[in-house]
Amino acid sequence: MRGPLTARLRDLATPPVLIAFGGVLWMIALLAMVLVDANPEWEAHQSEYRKRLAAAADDAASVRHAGRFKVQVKQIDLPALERVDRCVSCHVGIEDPAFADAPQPIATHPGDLLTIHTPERFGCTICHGGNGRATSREDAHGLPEPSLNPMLRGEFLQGSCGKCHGDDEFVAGSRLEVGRRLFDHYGCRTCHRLYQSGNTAGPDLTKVGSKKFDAFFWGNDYRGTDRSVVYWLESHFKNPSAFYPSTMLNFKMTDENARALVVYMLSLTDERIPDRLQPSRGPTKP
Amino acid sequence: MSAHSLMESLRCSAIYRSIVRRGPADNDIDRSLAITSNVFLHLHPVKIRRHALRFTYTFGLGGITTLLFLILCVTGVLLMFYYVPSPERAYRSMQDLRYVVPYGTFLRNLHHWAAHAMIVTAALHMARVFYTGAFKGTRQFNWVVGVILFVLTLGFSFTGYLLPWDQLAFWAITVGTNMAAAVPLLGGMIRYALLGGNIVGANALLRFYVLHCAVLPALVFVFLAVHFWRVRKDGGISGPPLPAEVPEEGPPERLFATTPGRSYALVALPREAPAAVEESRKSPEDTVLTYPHLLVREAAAAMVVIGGLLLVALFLNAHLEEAANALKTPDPAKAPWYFLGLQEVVSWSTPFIGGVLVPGLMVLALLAIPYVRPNSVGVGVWFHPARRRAVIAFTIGLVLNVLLIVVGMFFRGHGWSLVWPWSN
Repeated sequence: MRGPLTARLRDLATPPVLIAFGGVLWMIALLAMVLVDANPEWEAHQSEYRKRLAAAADDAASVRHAGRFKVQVKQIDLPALERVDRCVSCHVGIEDPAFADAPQPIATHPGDLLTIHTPERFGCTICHGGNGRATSREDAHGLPEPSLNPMLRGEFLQGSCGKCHGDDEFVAGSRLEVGRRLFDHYGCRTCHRLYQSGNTAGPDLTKVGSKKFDAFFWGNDYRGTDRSVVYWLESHFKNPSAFYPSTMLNFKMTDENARALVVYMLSLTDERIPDRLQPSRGPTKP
Repeated sequence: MSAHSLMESLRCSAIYRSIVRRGPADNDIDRSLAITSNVFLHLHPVKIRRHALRFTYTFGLGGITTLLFLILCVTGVLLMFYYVPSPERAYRSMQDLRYVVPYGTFLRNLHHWAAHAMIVTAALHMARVFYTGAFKGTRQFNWVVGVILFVLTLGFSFTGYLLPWDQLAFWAITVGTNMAAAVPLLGGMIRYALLGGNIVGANALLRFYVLHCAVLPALVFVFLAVHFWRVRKDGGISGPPLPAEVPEEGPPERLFATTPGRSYALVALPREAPAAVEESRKSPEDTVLTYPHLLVREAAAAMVVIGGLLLVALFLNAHLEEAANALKTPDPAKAPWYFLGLQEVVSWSTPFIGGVLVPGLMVLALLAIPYVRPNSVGVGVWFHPARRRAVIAFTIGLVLNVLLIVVGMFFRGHGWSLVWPWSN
C-alpha cells in the first residue's frame, strides 16, 4: 500500500520539519488575520470625511476641529432604548450641515428631523431599523434580504413614526395617516383584533410590525426571491390569496393604498419606548 | 556581536540562570535534569521507551486533547473579559465580539473550533487507548479517570453551548435538559437544579456560566492531574512487553551531539513499579531521553495543531443565529451534535430510553471495560488478535454512535423527518 510518495512524505515528516511547517501555518494565519481586520469599511469613509473636513477648514477653529477628528468606531449608546447604534461609524456626517452635497455614506441627514429627534437621544435604528451594533454595511443594513433586521426604506420608514406618536399626531395626508384611515375604511376590525378591540377571525394585529419575515406563511408554491415583510404584506393586501388560499376578502386595493396600509402595519410594534422619549403631548395608544 | 553569541551570553547571564537554574543541556545529565528540575516538564519521565515515540501508536491524541484544553482556557479567559451572562447582554456580547472587539470574531472562532475538536480528539484518544489495550494492568483506574474526563468535556461543551444565547443555543439546551428530565423520580428535580427554574432563562444562563467557567475547569484540572500522575507512576505511556533482545540502535535521530558516558538513572519510581518499568530497568538501551526526543515531537504536534486551528478559525466563522426567543421554536430543534445520536434514539423511543437509559448504560459500559477481563493480553498492540471480540464490540458501539450522529446532523429535517442533506 505504501507507495514511494507516502514513504517519502513519511521520511520528510521529522519533528524539525513539522515545527517549521507549523510555523508557516502560524505566519499565514496571523498575517491573514491582520490583513482581514486592517481595513474596516468605516475607516475608508471616515478618512474621506476627515479629508473633506481638512480641505474645507478656513479658520483656526475649524482647522482645530478637523485636526481633532479621530478615525475610530463611533457609536451612540442608548441604554433607554436598549441599543447601541454604530451607524455613525460610516454615516459620520449626518449632523454636519456642510456635508449636504457630500456623497453617501458621509452626507448630512436630509430634512430637519434630527433637530427634533436628536441622535444622542434617539439614535438611528429606532426609526430606520437595521442592526445598530453591526459595523459592516451588509449586516448593519440587514442585507441580503430577507433578514431579521431589515431597514425600512422609502415611504415605509413612516411606519416607525407610529412607534411613539399616537394616532392624533400623525401628519395629515402622510402614508401612515392614510394607512390608519384605510384600516378603519376597510373595516379590518371586523375580523382582526387591534389592541383591545376587534374580532379574532383573523390574526391579532397588535404586534404585527414586530413580526419577522419568517413568521409569515409564504405558502408552498411561492418561488420568488423577495421574502421581505413589506413584500408579504403588500402582496397580501392586493390579493389575500397571493401565497396561500386565504379567507380574507379581496378589497381590490390600489398599489398606493396597499402600501399605505403596510406603513400602518409596520407602526404596530411591541417596542418599548420609555416615557421620557415619548412625544410631549403624550400618546393616545391604549 | 552576533546573534549566536548574544544568545549565549543571555543564557549564561545570572538572571537567566536564576530562572531556569541551568545552562544549555549539552550532555545527558543536564538533559535529565532539565526534565526533573522543571515543574512543567517533570510531568514527563526523564527517559521513555523508544516505542512511546511512535506516532502511529498514540497519534499524539492525549497530548493534542490537553493542548486544546489549554487553548480553550486561554481563549476562554479572553472571552470572559467581554461576556456578560445575562439574557439582555449575552447575545449583545456576541455581536460586540463580532463587530467591535479587535479580532473578536477570530477569538470566538478559536474557542468554538477548539471545543468541538477537543470532543473529537478526546473520543479518539479513548478509542486509541481501548484498541491498544492500554487500560489494562495497573492502568485500570486511569481508564476510569479518563471516562470521567470525557464526561466533563461533554459537560464543558454542553454548558458552553448555551452562552451565546442565540436560537441555536437556547433550543439545543432546551432539548438537552428535557432529556435530563426523563430520569425516573428525580428527573424534574435534576432539570430544575440545572436550570434554576422550569425553562431556560436568566438563572439557567448564570448557572451554565458558572459551571462552564469555574466548576468544570477546577474539576478537569484535578482529574487531569490524577490522569497524568498515574500515567507517570505506571512507567510512562503503555507499550508492548519488551522483546528479549533489544535491537542495537542509536537514538531515533541525532538532534544534539551526544557526549560519551552514561551517568543518569531512572528516578522517582514507585516501590511497586510495574513490570514494564522493571523490564526497562534491565534493558535501558531501549529508552531514549525525553529531552529532546519527546519534547521536540510534542512541539511539532503543538505547532501543527495550533497552526491548523488558527487557519480554521480564520476561515470558518462560528454560527451566530438570531437572539434566543422562547416563543419561536425552530423546526427541527436539535441538541448539540454529540448528543444527536441520543436525540435520534429518543425520536424512535421515549425520552427515558434515549435520554437516560442509553447514555447511562453507555457510561457504565465504558467504566466497566477495564474490569470485565482483568488480564494483560495484547497491551501495546493495535487490534491485538487475542482481543478480537472486545475490539469488534467496541467498534460496533463506536460506529453506531457516529452513524446516529451523522443521521441526526444531516438527515433530519422539518418535524424530524428523514431528508437528504442537500434537499434543504
